Order: sequence, then C-alpha cells, then structure tokens
Amino acid sequence: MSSSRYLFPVKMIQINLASCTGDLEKKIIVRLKEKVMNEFLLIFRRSFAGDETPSPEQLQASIKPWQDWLGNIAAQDKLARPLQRWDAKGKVVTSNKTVINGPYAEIKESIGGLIIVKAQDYEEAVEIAKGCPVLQMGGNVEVRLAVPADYQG
Amino acid sequence: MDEKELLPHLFRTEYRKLVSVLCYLFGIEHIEIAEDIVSDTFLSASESWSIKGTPDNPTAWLYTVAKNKTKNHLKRHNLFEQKLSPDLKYTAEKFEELEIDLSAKNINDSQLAMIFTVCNPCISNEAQISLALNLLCGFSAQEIADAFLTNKELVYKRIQRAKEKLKEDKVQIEQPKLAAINARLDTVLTTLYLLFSEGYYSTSHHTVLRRDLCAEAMRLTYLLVENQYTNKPSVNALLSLMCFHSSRFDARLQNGVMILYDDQDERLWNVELIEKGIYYLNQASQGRQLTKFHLEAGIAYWHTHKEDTKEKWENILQLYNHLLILEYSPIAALNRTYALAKSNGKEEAIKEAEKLNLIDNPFYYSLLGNLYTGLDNRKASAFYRTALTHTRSDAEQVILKKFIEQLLH
Repeated sequence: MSSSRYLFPVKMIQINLASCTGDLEKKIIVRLKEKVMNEFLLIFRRSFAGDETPSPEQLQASIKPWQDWLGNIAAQDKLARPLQRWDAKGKVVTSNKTVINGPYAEIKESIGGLIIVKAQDYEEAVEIAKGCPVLQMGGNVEVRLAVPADYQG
Repeated sequence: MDEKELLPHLFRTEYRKLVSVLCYLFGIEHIEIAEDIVSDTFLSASESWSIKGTPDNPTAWLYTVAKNKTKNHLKRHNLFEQKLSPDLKYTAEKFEELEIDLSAKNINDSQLAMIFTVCNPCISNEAQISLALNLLCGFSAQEIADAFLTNKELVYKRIQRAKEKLKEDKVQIEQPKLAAINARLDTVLTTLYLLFSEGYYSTSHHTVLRRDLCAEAMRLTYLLVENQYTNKPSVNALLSLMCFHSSRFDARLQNGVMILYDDQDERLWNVELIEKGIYYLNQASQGRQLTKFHLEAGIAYWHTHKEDTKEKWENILQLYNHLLILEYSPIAALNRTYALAKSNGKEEAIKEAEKLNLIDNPFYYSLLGNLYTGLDNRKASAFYRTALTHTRSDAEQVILKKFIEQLLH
C-alpha cells in the first residue's frame, strides 16, 4: 500500500583472491573505491558439538533475533538475493572419502547459513555482519566480496 | 433512490457489464462499437425516462434497448456478414438469431475475460489500471484523472493507446485458459491491488469517488474468488486485505479530514467487513503459497485489534520482516521500523531508522520525528519541520504542524 499507515493517513560467487592476478586485485580495489554497490557473501559458522535439542520455546526465542536481523538488512534494501534455507543436517566428505552425516561432532564448525548482501565496501559489509546473531552463539561470520564476471578478464 | 441518482447509479453498475458482454461478443477490434452502443443506450434512457417516466424494471429496459441497438447496428453496417462473423464466438446463422446473452453467468464470464484482457503484459501498468477503470468500472477519463491527480487529456490518450495496442497485438477476449491464469494472475492481482490503493490512499479529496474505486476493486476481486479456476489462495488473501482495510474507511475519514490510526474510534470500524476479512484469510491459508498479499492481509488483520499488546506488535514486526525479505519497498521499510519501535523499543528502532537513508521521503523524517518524541523533543521537532519541507500534500502538512504544536506543550 502506498502510504505510511501510522504516521499519515495517507549470487553465490566464490573466487580465491590469492589465485587471482595482480591486475584483478587492482580492479577490485578500484571498484571498491568507486562506491558502487557490491555483493558480499556472509557465511555464518558455529560449533554444533554438544548441542541439545532445543525446546519449542527455546527454538522460538532463537528465531526472533535472526528474523529481526534479516528484517533490518531487508529494510535497508541490502539483500542481494532471495533467502535460501538450508537443511541443518547435510553430509561431509573427508579426504579419505569417508562420508560423515551431520550434525557433525567430528568437525569443529559447520555452516549455519549464508546470505548475500549489497554493500559499498568491506567496511559496510562487516558492519552488517556485526549484527549477526551467530556471534551471540559463539560463532563467526566470514565476509567475502563477490567478484563480478566482467572483472575476470 | 430518486430519478436523478438512478441513472448515474445504473451507469456505474450496468455500463461495464454491457460493454464487457459486447466486447466479449465482438472481439477487441470492435471495442469502440461496443462502447458507442452502450453509451447510446444510456442516452436513450435519459431521454425516454425524462418524458415517459422511469420503467418498472430499469435494468431490464437497458438490456433490451442495448440488445436492439446492437442488432440494428449490425444490420445497418452489414458488419455481421463482413467483419464480425469470423470472430463471433456464437454460431448464429443471421444476426436476427444472434443471441446477446445478458444472463448473470455470461456477464460474469465476460467481465472475467475482460480483466485478463486488460491486464495483458503488452500494455503498461498505468494503462492497465486506466483501462480497467474505464472498461470494467465505467469511470470516465475525468474521474480517472481526478483519482490519479492528473489531467483528463493524459488519461484519455493513455486509454486510447492501450486500446490500439490490444488491437494491434490481436489480443483475444476469451475465458482465461489454465496456463494463462497462472501466468497472468499476478498482473491481474497487482492491477486490482493498485486500483484499491488508489481509492484508499489517494490524496484526492473526492471521497465518494475514492470509496467507489475501493468498491470496484473489491467487486472485481470477488469475481475472481467466485470463479473455480481463479479462486486461488493469493486472490483470497488480496480480498481479505481489502476487507480489513475498508473496515476502517468510515473511521479514518471524518468530514474530509484524515484520522490517524491511533486516534480512530474503533466503534466506527465495520465488524462485518472484519469478519469477512478473517474468512477470506482462512481461505487463503489453504495451500502452501505465501504471497505478499498474505503477509499484508496478516498485517491488516493485526490492525483490527486496537489495543497495543506485545503479541500484536511482535506479529506485525515479523510479518513486515517477511514482507521486506520477499519484496523491498520504502513504505514497508518505514512501517516496519515503526513496528520495531513498538516491539523492541525506540532506541533500537532509531538506530535502524537512521540506516534506512530514505532522505527524499517525507515519511522518513516524520518517522524519525515520531521516534524521537519523548526521548529528545527538540530533535523530534526538527525532524517534523524537515518533513514539512518535503511534503506537498495539504493533509500531511496539517498533521505535521499538529505534531510540532504538541511538542511545544
């Protein structure tokens, strides 16, 4: 609806920078300086070891901070892609091709989720990441610039 | 209803039905013929009724005259043989046998076919709404111009261009096929949603016109709910949303003055419409689809509870979160921040409001004014004054000045 009701009536790209040529890195730096909107991947990781199954009340209480945080980002029009929910279990293939079924007691951390946001630079993307509720749970957020396709040449 | 009101009323309710049925019969190429015949029918009515008095059954009179005029027209212009017959969906041998079906069912079928024709993606959104108002709601170019706060010539040109485009592209007026329903229902719903919004939020002072716009949008949405193929969850959600909003129509406008939500007298809220809204919201919950209409209907539902409770604002906040994640809009972002203040407190909301960066939007400054009220009244007042310089609407200026005035005491 086209009026404020209260006050008035009325891309998932991952490129390892280390493997890039110096030229590309320069282009990225230029791009960041130009203040164009870039896309950043935010990956939340935390240790799931020792987790007990939460009660419905605990689950409900743990959802709100996530919804509010995502709402904050969406309200700034900084969500770059529709949200995707990921299965919590999953599988891990190790170097000797053993398959581990999640949740993983064997590996230290696993991905809690990921989103792609729009931000001008790393500083802004990091500011967004600082609000992530995974930090309250002892986890961390990895922030990565999405390198646009036309910068690969 | 006295004679003076009767004909305009019938024009509003019957014009569109007759035009739809005739367009459906003739095809989009002859849309003007259909409009001419129906306009001529109303002209005859006004002449004849003023001399002979109103007939016992005015609607039946209009239908009979429209039928005869159609047959005469076809006879006179020999159109039936030369042009119309290949397009006619009816297989009458001669025009004397031509059946002009004005049964309730065919009227509904014709109107439904017309909605899907008007909402053809080959014409722009503004044109779709103008054409929908013109052909399906019987609004004149002047009335549409009043509702959109624009001029009549512009609306007229827009409608003409849209009609030409539909003809050029040889768009068929037909019952939407299942595939077309799925592909175009979103556009149809958006048009109906905008139609309703125009009526509900328009800054036009024309109260009667605005009410009519809302009623027309609801009537057309109801038509979709009534049809088994278009009776989808999203359609029910939209109708539910419209019911909840219109339940406050009387309360939010008194003597032409806008009454803000907090100041509304909830005894003026229409209980029957609220109940209907709940009914359609339940209907909308069947199936797995969650559209923005569902979320907006949910938000509108919680607004039918006047009392501020933690549960109410927490629900509204989460619905706005969902809505914004689904589709960003500045107004949703502002309303969401208001809900955030109600649910999580003003300090948190101010922090988030400042990140919204909607510096060209007058509502942005009035939101900040509202959030700072009670915390820092000087700041609040400054924000309201900034809002004042950003708005051109008289109604909004009056309200802003009232807010600034209140801060002084």
